[in-house]
Amino acid sequence: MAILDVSDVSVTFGGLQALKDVRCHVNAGELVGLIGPNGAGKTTLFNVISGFLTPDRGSVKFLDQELMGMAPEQRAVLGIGRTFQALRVFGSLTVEENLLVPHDVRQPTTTAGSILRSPLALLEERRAVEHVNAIMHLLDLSSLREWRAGDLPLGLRRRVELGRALASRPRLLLLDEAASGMDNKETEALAADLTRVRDMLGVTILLIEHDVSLVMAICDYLYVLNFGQIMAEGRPAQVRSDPRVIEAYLGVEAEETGVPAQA
Amino acid sequence: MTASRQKLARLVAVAVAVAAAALLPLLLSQYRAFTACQVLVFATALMGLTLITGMLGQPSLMHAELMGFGGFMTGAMVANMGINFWLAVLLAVVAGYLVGSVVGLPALRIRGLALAVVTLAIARVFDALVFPLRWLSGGVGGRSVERPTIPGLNLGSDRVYYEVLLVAFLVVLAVVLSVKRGRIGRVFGAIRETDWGSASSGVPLTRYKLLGFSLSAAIAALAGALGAGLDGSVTTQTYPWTKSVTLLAILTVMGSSSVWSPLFAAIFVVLSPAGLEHLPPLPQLFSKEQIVQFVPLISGVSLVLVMIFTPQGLVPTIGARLRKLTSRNRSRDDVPGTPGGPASPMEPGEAVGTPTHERVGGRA
Repeated sequence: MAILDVSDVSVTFGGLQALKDVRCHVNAGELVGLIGPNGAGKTTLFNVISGFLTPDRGSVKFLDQELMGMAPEQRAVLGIGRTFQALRVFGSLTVEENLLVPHDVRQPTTTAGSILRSPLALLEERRAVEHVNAIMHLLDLSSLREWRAGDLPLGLRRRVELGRALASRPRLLLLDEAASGMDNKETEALAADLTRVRDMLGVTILLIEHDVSLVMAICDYLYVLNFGQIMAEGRPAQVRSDPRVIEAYLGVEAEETGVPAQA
Repeated sequence: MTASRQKLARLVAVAVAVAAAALLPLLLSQYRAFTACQVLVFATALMGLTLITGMLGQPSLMHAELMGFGGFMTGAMVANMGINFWLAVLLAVVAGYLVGSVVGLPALRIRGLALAVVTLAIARVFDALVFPLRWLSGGVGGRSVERPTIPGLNLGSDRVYYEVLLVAFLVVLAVVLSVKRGRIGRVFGAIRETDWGSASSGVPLTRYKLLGFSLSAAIAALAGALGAGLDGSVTTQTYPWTKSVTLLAILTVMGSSSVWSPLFAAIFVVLSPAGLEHLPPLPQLFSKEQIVQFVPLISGVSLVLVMIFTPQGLVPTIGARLRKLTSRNRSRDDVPGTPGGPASPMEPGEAVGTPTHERVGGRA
């Protein structure tokens, strides 16, 4: 069953057609990759799905509910979590506080109740901390709980942002360049994390990623975006052998990565 | 030190500090007691300002006007509707809360310097259009506000009225501390860092930004209302827009992220005009009048220097130094549970913005 259904989405920036009649869907429980060269419109599509950008036309349905006209925070509460390519962690907050924020805005206590520290507010806080502890454990962040998120290296900040997205108990997770800035070891750990997140938390994942080997290894299905249009889709093996994809995207990658560094 | 003993030590330290603050007027002359009252009024108002600048990370150049609004509302309701002063204060606080959610609207679209300019414009609107309203300010001469009464207490004495202001300040301090340490403070911190990151975490930006401005304006209105009772009057000259600029500037120098900065900033706001007149003149070089002329230049340069060398502000920076020192002493001496000792929560410099900065720095 499709958890996310994007149909005929078009976006123009001035004269530039950033997305043209994009259709794609993601089934519940899948790990779907969205690949394509720089400037193909991948992040633009993410912004449309998560509500930061209103498309010229088209529709986005999440669990059969039309999302157009809904604010980003409403979509987040419905169950769409996301991370950003240019990270947006809460730098001056601790790792734990970063993960608590999604809980904080979902608590039913009133403002007065939370200022007066009502028993209900304290109970909610304890429950939130428990859930956040579980996520930090899952992502191996427990030992960094008290660290200021802004003081952590890039790879760990990405992990914090992933944790924050998970803390809001999303049904669908949009990950924008989750592995960029990570070294090989961190990328491997991330791949393991993502499959674990999918299997243990039952989260559906749509992933933008440049690391082709990572995408091929963990994704169930792939969409290839080129010049704002879906140029190919299918199982990783199918996409890998698609001549158009090789020409437009993979070929370049293969050349870049295929030539061993002389230095 | 066990957690419960530490808690007890903190409690004792707080009690001692509150008692000391409450007994302070006994040591002061009538004139100084009035000054101390003024400090509490501004400290309360600045407490509200830290909610916006320190926690939400948004500038506001209209806070003196919000104080003035509270003062005028109280005076107007007492004079026009004949209601009790304390009820008028309560209503002025509610009115301040509502006004806060209106003047906070620009913050939904803009932030930083642009917002600073817009809030300054709002301050000018208050000066030019709101305060001249006859119902509110009673015309050019302003409003006289009679010192309120509580049966059995001689509030006419500044030494006694001080206690009323102290209670108000402590209540506001408790509210702001609770906001800061609870879920609302975390959400404010998230908004301070990034709008998109907050929204993607489900933060309703509109609601929380307006909540911050409303709480802040309500606190400023409370300070202004009690200040009107202190001064005995409010006029359009009491809170010129330049006062708003001064408030934000001095709070920024002190460090808007610390909940202790408002007190230090208020001392500075209240004492600096009078204090500068007592500056020792340098007869050979400048006359007293010339020195006074240089004051804005000196203040401006010091502001820039403070911002360059301690971008966090004075209070958090000095507080962090002190804490480092005392924590070193503590590990050496290992005398646990001394009341008022290093664990004192009244220690300045607890930063809103960087709760664990020192800890992380220390470990790295």
